Amino acid sequence: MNKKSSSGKKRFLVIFISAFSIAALVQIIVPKSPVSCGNSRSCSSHPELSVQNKAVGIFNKQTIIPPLISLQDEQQPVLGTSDPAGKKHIFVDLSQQKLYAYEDNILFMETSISSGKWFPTPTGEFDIWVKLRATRMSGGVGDDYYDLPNVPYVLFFYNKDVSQATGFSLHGAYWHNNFGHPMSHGCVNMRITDAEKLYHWANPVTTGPTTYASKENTGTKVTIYGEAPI
Amino acid sequence: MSLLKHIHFMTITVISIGIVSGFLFVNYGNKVRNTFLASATYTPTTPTPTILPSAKEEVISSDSPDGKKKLTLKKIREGSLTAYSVFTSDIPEVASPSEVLIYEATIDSSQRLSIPYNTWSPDDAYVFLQEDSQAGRDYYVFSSTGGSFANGEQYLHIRDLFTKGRPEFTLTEVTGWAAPYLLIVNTITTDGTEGPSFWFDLSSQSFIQLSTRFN
Repeated sequence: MNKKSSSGKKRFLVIFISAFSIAALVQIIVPKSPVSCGNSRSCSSHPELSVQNKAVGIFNKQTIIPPLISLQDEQQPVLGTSDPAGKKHIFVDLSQQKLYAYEDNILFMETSISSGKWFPTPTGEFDIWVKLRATRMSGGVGDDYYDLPNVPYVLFFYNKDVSQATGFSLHGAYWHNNFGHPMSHGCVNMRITDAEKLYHWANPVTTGPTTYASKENTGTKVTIYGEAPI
Repeated sequence: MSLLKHIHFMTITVISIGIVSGFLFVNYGNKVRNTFLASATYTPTTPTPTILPSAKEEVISSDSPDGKKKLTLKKIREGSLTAYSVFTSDIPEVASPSEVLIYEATIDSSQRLSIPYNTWSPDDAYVFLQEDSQAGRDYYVFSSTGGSFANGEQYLHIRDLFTKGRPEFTLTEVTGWAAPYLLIVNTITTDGTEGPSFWFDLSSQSFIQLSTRFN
């Protein structure tokens, strides 16, 4: 009887460990479902520079006048000052709705942001892959529909789980001023002045109104963590 | 239950526990890894605060999010009273002064006026101030150009308007602007539990209850 109960316990232990291991392996190996696009109507794997000074925006059923943008008045890129991307790092704390930008362990910027409320901002470690001086973003349906031209200082980021086509980015927001609280459809909203500073500081080093990251001009890393208070 | 059925039941139970444990183990591990990623890597340096010009005089300012306007609050404490003056100005300052006085008052020093972080409306047309006193927290909206509202008022008293319009809730906080004319208002219920969020629409001076809370 003792031998039988002992072998029975061993059998159950083996079964438990096997089931545990299989479940853990499935979680690791099987690809997660792809993250949906934040700006459902304007997502693209090739986001375009767009400056539309005569257009009006819509947000929360309100008509919004976008800021005027003159590319001719823009700060000219400084050639030959490509900083190693590894020195700079951006952190976004969703729990506190804060952004921290560091260069060589020195704090360059600390500011409040607005992360996703209508769609969660993805967490993880990302790379900036393209910077646009301005673009148009639209999405949502019904009361949530929005269409925003001249979204300023856009830094798109991605990783292996959040593809470039999902269109998540850090950018300036001219349609609300509720920073420190989730407000967006997934992107990280910033005050325009903060987005402008970050845009010119972060890599890839700005070469024009559209700047793609490359092997010679890599994008700054962005780490997003925590849980937004939504 | 026969022995065979007992073994089957135990086998299924053990497999189920194993599967659930495996999922939980991997997901918990991922969460811990993500929260650890940034917190311990860099040590932030604390900036040194600037020295105020006088112990009795204090100047606080807040730039608009687009960097074009500045709201300045000056306060001078004189005994049990504090004199406040609030004005807006352009950034950068042009040759002729662009300051516009939008409010001034001398109040008891137990009351304190301050500038909330999201004071500016997105279109720079309005600002809101916060007043803290023993009676609680209050909010006032001003035109940034010093103009008056539809009924000739110099400012809109948000708590007063809310109490009249929605007495079943208590206003706890105004966090910022959802749009150029919409202020976000959070509330609690009469029994102290979390209440809904509202938009205060400046154009109609009405409160719109929202289906989602703006935390």
